[in-house]
Amino acid sequence: MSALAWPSPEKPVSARARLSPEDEAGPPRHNGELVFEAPWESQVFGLAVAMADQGIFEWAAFRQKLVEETALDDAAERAGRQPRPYYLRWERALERLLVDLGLAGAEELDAAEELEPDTH
Amino acid sequence: MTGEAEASDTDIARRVAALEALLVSKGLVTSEGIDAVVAAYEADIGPLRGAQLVARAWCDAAFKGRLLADGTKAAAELGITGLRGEHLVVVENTPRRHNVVVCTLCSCYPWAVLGLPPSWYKSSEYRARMVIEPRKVLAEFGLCLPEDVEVSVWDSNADTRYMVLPQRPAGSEGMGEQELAALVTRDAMVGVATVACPPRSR
Repeated sequence: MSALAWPSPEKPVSARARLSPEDEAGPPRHNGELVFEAPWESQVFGLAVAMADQGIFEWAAFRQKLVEETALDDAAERAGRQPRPYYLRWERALERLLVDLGLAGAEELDAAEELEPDTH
Repeated sequence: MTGEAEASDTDIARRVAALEALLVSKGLVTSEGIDAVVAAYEADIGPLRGAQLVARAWCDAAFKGRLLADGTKAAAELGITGLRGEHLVVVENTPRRHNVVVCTLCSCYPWAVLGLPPSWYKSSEYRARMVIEPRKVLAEFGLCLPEDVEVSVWDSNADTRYMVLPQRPAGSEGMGEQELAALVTRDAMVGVATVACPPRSR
């Protein structure tokens, strides 16, 4: 296993969730690390949590899909393949869950993507 | 989506936008609902909440008892609530036992009290090694535990999120709750660090 450099010791928690004033101007960071690397990550996170909170599906059901996607990523990593962005696991897990629950069809999702404008 | 291992950020962003639009059109979610969740986790929900639970437990023995007996209920006393159906379990460090939290299968984490997890917590390395060789991993984090201290590793899941109640540091006597809360780091509440008390200036 490669030696992972754990990050340097964190700064103590301050009175705000966002720590340093110099980070205020940029995307939110906690302990110096970006909360979300890109807007789509926060969207996927928000989608999953908002729907679970509303009772659209049980968190445990989503978690099970996340476990499966994580296993795929772990296997890819062991095989030396390029890793997927972390939140792509969430996106795949969410789509698979929605299809399993009959809340959205696989073709429907593909069709929606076709219609989406190229502005991102 | 084909060839997803090579999907670019743009491709993914487009897919996510389409997913959101579709689900909104079906009335399963609203954009406002999504934004509210994101704003909460970007700005409000972070380790200060957990630190406040720790500080109160250090100052109030009865609260500590309630926190250890039922973390979810005790956190609610401070207005902290988690996802529906999720239980918070707080595990106490003592001179004889050190606790550390992991999620071996994905990245379950006590968001409601710590915010979102750091990258290292989600890494395959942490998830695999913490259950196999916890002392070694902790040492790599700079935490070396004597052999007579038992190490307990707690594997989180969908329903149960663990948080560590670290030991109160020496030199913190007489400090108020908010002062104490400021000492407690996220890493200490995950269990990869202990809480230190900076030397007092005289």
